[in-house]
Amino acid sequence: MLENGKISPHQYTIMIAFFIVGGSILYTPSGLVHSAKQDAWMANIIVVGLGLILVSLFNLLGSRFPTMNLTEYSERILGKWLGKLLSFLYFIYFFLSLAVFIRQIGDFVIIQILPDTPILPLHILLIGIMIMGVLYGIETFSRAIEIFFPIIFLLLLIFIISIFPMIEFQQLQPILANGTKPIISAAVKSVGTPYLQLVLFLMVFPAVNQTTKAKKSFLLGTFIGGTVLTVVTLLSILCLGTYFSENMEFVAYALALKINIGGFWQRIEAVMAFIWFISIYIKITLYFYGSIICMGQILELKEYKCLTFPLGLITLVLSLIINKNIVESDKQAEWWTSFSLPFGLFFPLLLLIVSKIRKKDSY
Amino acid sequence: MKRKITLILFFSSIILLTGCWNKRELNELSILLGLGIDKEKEQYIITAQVVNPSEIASKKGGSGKAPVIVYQSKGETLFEAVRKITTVAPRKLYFAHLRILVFGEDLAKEGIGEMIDALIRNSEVRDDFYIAVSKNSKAADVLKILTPLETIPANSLFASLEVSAKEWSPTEGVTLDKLVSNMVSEGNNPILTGIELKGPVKTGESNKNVDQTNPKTLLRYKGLAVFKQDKLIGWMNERESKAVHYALGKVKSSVGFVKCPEGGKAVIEVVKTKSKLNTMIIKGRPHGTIKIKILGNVAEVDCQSLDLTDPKSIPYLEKESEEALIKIIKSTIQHAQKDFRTDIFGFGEALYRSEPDYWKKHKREWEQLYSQMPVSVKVEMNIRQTGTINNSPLHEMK
Repeated sequence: MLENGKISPHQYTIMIAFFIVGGSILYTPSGLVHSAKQDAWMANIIVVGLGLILVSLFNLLGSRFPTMNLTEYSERILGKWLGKLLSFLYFIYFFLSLAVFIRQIGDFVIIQILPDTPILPLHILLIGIMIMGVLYGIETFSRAIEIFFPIIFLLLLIFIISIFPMIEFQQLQPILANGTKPIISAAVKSVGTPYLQLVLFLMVFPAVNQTTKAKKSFLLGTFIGGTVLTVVTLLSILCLGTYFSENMEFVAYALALKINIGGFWQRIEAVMAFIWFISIYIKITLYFYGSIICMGQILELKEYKCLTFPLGLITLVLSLIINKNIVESDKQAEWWTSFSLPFGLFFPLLLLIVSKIRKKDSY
Repeated sequence: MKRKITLILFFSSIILLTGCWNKRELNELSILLGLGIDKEKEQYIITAQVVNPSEIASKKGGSGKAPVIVYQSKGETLFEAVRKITTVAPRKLYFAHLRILVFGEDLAKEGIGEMIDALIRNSEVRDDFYIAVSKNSKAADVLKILTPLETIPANSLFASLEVSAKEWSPTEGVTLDKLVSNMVSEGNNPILTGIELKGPVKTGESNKNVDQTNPKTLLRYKGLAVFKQDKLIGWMNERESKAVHYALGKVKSSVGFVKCPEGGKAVIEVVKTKSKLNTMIIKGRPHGTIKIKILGNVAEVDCQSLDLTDPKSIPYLEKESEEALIKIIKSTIQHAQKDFRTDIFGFGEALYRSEPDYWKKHKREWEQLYSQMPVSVKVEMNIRQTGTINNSPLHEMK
């Protein structure tokens, strides 16, 4: 066992909700609105449904090996070498995602908040606190998340209530103008971010101290995160209309920019940025944790902390070169689902089926 | 030892955390409040109205210099022209406090789409400023005029547009996001309020203009610029623009008069309106309906024949004002349909909302369908109050 820390099911729920909100709160609407137009919120509900089905699959696999993480039981199910190969593929997947998300924060900051700042110092700061989070271990980290939760929840609530006066219900009409086809295709396309990525939590799953409750919290966390994303999508269509929801680089931030109640409750977009920074920080730290545990397992190390600095430095370089420009990173969202599909769906299914056939479970 | 190192690291990090990378202090900014854009021979001419901080900040009333400075520059593109301003101005323009954007009439006729892109793409520009079109003059001239009462002309223009939209209603403060969504929409077209220059530009440029009780040169909102997508195609007069705002339900408060039974006028103050615009398909053809509900008070009675103690005279006033409103709204819609052939009311969008399949089939020929579409207008007027007196003193002077 590389990880000896234990987290409670409650912390696990919060972690998952943050993970889902983190990567997507600024991005979700535009992709969905592109194909589903004003019905994007329905697509979002479908995506949450698909996400919950995926999570049940992960739960099935995770609870079969309640004390082991993904890399451990892939070696057990597929044999040592094949298992290590699969673990290595997962390592690459986690590590690339990590770099992509760090780049997303960098891009956001230099586009919206600090336009002339070079991206490097931002990444150094971010990776610094990310390494710190992993060095403290999952137990400390999840307690930190628990402290953040009420603050973020309150801010999100304030944000949503402040938007209410700008709502124009006619923006939602006509409902289902183009039939259900574009909605379903939009939903299927965007299941990759963030629901297929939830496979990462199979690395954290054994750290939860009650397996049966962990299954429930996995579903609950997914549901909470998905609901927040649906509400944000709905609000952006209601307030900004389809053109802006589709073409703004950061829709939720544009929404926050518009808040103006009575001439004094305005310019609170930093609240939105704060929500996003905290939640995506949690997301990248979990990715970093996942890739380090993966690597540690492959190399059969006794403890993983020696890996943080070397891998952190590689992350820094990778995050700078992973995309050449912003158009490329926007395009990335489109093929990310197909890239995540083997990791998020096929491999877990394969592991589940093979473990049933070979009658393997945890001891 | 370890603690000492931590402390040293902690304090030395303060040196690194001094602020933003590209911070610009107030004395390095020129705060842009008004921006005018004109076009001349393929070149954009921008006029930037910038605050003169020493004049605004001093409590003693300043030294008699102009409160704002106007810079001009030319360029093939908007962004180029904006940056070129640094060759005449000592500081870089700061866009976040922009109050009013004025398009020159000539530019508006050629299309404002290219300008709009540069503005929404820029992260410094917020969309809380108003947009207007200068009528019969250049945008540059509008921004050169100094205004009384509000020392900063751009603030004066902003405030005046806000107040007049609230209390008088033929004008409307259009923001960037509203303009863009109407511009890109297939079933809607933008409208902007016009600004007119009254008096010679020369006298308006100097502080002397505001030293008088009756400034020789003034700026006035007048008329409504009607667009087809991003191109200006014509103007509507005050009565018509009021009718447009009634139809769109944008009237907050306004004033209208009706004729008394035997000549003279009675004035109704509108305090609340609500409108519903719909497009239906009747026998395979689109049919527009507008329903307006208005709440009003009697504000002025200039005739002897109206007896306000008689309950019958209120329905009379209601009916008269309903008819008058229906008449101007109908003629305005016809004007937009027949002469401009542009759907500024959003009947197309309403059709898309109610009959998406029909809209998809016919949206290419919408301009044709729209220009021949019958529109029925219903107005429901409710008069509640008559002010602090009932019968007019005129009534007693028989």
